[in-house]
Amino acid sequence: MAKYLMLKHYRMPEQYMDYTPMDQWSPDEVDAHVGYMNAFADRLKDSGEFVDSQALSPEGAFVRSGGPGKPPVTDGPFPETKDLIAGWMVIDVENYDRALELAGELSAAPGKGGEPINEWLELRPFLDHAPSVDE
Amino acid sequence: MTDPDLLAEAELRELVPAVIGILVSRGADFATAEDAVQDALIEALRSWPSDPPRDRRGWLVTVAWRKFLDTVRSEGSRMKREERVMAASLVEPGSSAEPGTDNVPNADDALDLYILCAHPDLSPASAVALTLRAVGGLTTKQIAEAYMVPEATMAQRISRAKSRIAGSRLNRPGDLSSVLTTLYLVFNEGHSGDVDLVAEAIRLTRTLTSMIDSAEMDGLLALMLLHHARRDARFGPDGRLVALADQDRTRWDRKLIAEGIEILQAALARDELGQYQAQAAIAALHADAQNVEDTDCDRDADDGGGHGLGGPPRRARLITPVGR
Repeated sequence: MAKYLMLKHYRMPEQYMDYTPMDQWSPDEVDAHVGYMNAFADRLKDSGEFVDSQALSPEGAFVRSGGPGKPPVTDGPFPETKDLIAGWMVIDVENYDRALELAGELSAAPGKGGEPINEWLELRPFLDHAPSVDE
Repeated sequence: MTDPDLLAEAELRELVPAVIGILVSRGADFATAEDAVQDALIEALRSWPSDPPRDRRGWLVTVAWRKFLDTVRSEGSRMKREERVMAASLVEPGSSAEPGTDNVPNADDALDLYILCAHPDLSPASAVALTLRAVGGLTTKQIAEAYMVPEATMAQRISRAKSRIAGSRLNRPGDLSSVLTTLYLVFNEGHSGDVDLVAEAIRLTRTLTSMIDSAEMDGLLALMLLHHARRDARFGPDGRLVALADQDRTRWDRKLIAEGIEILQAALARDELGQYQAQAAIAALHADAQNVEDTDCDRDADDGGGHGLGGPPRRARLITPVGR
């Protein structure tokens, strides 16, 4: 089995954003979108492929150390042009093809007017830990 | 967890396949029996530290059998199940906690269990999970932690695996190669959580080699021991992987290497070469060398000349260095 992260974005570079952004959906449309994702997660729980799912608030800031003895430095809120992660789902699946299949399905969640948004998701394999066999 | 607890748990887990075998031989179906033994196991982990039974296996059999009956009775509206309970109840040896004569486990039962859990219809991940639970006696929680998934996910994976093989008979002769693959997968998963899957894979493979006469099974055990012997040297102080050539060979476990080589020699002498013996032979060449330059590269993997590891010319070459 292999673990993959499926990363959702509120905002991405323009060429990847070809659907109406969520802040322009009606509450019912947002509910339908979230309902689709929950049903999707439930199916993964049933199939034994679910690991984790979290949604993120669009708020937040960049933070870094201000140096020894100084408070951390923040820069925020995020500029309009910044990629904005909306949340993620972690799956544990047999192979890459299955991960692709699931990411495709998640991407088709409904948006404005109930139409599938077919958003671009980032599909990222976890870095493997060191194997027991090294040659 | 204190050491006595760990010891008790290891001892407890060794009983699991035998107890499943006993329940099945009394007429329980595998899936329900396996659940019942898992429930009994969890109860044992809870109650034994303060109240250890005199006869551990008898206790497990009795508790698991009661749990099995509870389950089947609670699903009793289904006629087929009821009939099965009736049939099973006929051989129930009473409610005494003392073991009856049918509590003697059959070595073949345990072997059948290995084969069933590695059924070719199961995905490798499902076979691994089921093997660790039914044969290894690990709890779902421990397996979930080792594979870093939620317990509910692992429970679901195991439950689906069991329904997938629901129609399979426990006593049907099966293919050992999928058992070997499954154990090797467990071995390669390494170590995370509080369960050492490397040690577990070696334990299960060792148990299996005592039950069955197979050169490839011995080859797999040798391969595991030879790799495991280098575990301490495989990581530097910073936790980074150290390449074979750079490893501190004084940190290799010579005792394990000697055991691996001895097992491998005996296997190779039987002239039934297979991939695990071939891999073990390569590992033995590395393990046997005092430094990289000493590694007997003439006989190492790259002189196969395209005929792969399985052909007779290689075998003859492999036996020599291993036999030194």
